[in-house]
Amino acid sequence: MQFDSLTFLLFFVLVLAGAALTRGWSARKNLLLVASYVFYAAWSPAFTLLLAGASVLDWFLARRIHAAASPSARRWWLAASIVLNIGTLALFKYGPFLHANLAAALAMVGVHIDPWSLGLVLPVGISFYTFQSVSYTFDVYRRRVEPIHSLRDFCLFVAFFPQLVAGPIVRFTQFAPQLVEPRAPSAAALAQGAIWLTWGLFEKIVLADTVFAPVVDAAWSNLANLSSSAALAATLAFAGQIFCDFAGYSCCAIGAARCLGFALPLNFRNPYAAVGFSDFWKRWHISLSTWLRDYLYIALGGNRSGAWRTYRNLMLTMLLGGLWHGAGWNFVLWGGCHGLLLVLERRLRGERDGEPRGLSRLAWAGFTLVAVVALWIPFRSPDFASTAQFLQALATPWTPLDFAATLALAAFGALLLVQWRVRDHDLDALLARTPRALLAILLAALLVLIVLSPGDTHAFIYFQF
Amino acid sequence: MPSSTSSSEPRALGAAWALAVLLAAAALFLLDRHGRGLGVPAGLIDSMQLWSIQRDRVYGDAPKAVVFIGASRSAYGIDPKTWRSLVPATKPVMLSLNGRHPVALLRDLAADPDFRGLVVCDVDTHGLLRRWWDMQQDYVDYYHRRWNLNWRVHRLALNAWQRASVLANPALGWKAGLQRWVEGGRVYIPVTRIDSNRGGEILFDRFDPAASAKAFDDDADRKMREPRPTADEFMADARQIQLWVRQIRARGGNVVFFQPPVSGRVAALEHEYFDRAAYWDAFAALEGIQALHFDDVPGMGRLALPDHSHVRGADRATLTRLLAEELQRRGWLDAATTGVR
Repeated sequence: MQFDSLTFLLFFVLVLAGAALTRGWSARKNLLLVASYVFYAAWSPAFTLLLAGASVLDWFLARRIHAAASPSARRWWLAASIVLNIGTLALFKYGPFLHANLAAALAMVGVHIDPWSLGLVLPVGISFYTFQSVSYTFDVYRRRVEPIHSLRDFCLFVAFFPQLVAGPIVRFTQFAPQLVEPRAPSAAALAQGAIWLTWGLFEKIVLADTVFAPVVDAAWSNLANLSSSAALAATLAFAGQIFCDFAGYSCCAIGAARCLGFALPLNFRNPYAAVGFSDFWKRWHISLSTWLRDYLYIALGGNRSGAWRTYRNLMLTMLLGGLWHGAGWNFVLWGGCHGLLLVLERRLRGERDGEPRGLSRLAWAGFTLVAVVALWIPFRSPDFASTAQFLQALATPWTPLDFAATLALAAFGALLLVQWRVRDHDLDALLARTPRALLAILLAALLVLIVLSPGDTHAFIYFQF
Repeated sequence: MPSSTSSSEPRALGAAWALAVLLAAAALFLLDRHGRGLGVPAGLIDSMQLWSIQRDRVYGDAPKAVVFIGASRSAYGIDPKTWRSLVPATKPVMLSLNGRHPVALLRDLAADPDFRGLVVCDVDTHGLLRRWWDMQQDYVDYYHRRWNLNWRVHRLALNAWQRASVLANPALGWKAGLQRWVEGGRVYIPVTRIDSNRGGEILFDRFDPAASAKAFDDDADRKMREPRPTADEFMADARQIQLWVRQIRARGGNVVFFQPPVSGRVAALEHEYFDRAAYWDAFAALEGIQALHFDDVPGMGRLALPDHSHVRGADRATLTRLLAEELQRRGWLDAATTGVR
């Protein structure tokens, strides 16, 4: 189910009514678990079995890890969790990619193997719920949390529908307390949650789908005849699209959870106002970047063993982070470039905390924005050849922009200005200082714009990851 | 995490929401009235989702599906309700798509092991050329990759919204309005109408059919200036299509290729550019191929075609009846049906 569908509206009204009318915390959690599986089954009923299987498995393995007497036994149970989770993810997501690359490598030495024929469909959200589930077994292994007794509660942690298919990737430590203390929809929660939902839908439907996507799609579907001006507009439009698409989803997730009385972590904090690349990754897809930091970068040794080990760990983390976004060399390239930029920044700025000041700040901000936006080109392109073709288009003659491209550029400019203006604030902070009459007018405007954007509904970009 | 709120905060936020909903409802009501005043009617808008609802209906043996695939001539020429009244033991399914030749969908139905219906494929010789085979592939891909229960429910709810409000029409969207404000121009009034079963008609009273006829004629002339595949090349590709027909027939289904009536230079494209004997008739002579040309159906060529390519809405029933009767006469309707009434 998608937040920008009328189906979700009907579903959510029913869930809210059910949660409000259900007496008892345990019964309400049962209702939320069933609702979460219905939410997931709207895509594919069969894959609910995979979701349930993964949840039961990690619940069981975490208990075994905790109960194991020897460190080696604990390691074995953890390894079982990692292998089974990442193995499933690899089979569905990376199977064809690995097979194609293996076939190409073997072909160079004259060995030919049959093409990939399993025809597996990628289960929606598998990358998100796998990471969420694995982080739990890791945390139990590291003795940061006690394994949860209730299988139902653990399944709800993994499958809670607002964050199930595209994050934020929630940690068990963030969610477990919310499973203990009873919560239910309230007028205050509904009013606040609905604001987050409306803002998320505005970002997704009005900005990502109506303003940015048409310019992006037109450019990448006609690379042969692309002018430099259209390529530049499309690059900035994609920067706007991917932010509004994903941040919009995250806002909807936070809003839906909040309506039900739950709190999800912030996933984006004005990333195009970043000063430096480490700052960018503290603002973009925060739940993934902190996951990669805590479970990969630190596990590799982090910055504990000297500069070169730190650089290696940064590169490995970002390469794998790139691959997490999709099974393609373009994503590896994107992750690798971000890794290099992080290394470069660390080399130039050292371990200094805090942002640079004055002209240096301006330079870092400009460099970060240009590099981040430019790197969206390989990310959006289906392959290296398309990336090269797109880059060549940037050197062609300038042509006048049409209305759609001009609007996209104006919208991206406005997005930048707003992100700089509210750089260190989230929606709650802005809400707190907005006069209520003005808030009413703004909400009315958002609702009208959402209704007046009746284009074809697009899939959220991050669903494919 | 939720921000802390004072005790009056929920009430203030609730009041803000109430005012916002009131303002939005008032604005939308006024905009709806304005849109209607501009002449935009409320009505269904075709989409991949509306198409996919019909694609879901091609299965089952009782009643057996008669699936209309093709481009605008069948989309706006065949009336599913008339078909159902004429051949009540069948289930008409309209999958034709305006401006797109149908071979990709034929290929998809052939590969679908559960499909056993009758395909009535609106296509002319030009539409069978390999270069057009993938024109409907994005619809096929959407159906197999993204269509699900979520979008089905969404689309059914959207149908109700589109019937109720003109604001569901993209021509009245904020972006189109802004563009008109910046660049000038008038609001686009739809020139076709479509039902939830995807049966549709062209509303010739909303535009100049003569100008449209000239545009179709010019397009036909342009196509006739393009290099043409030799008859041998054409037949090599036709044999691939024959294989797909065989797949459907092997499961108990069938395929009828049907050229709806055209006139003017559009007809010349078929009559002069492609030698009928070397192309269409040679294709029709392939083993297992059943093909029907409008020239061979008495009365079909006499239907009025205001734009040289499509029948009037009032003639849809006649075209549908002529087609059903001709299929019945040739014995191409499934033996299990009760025949044409």
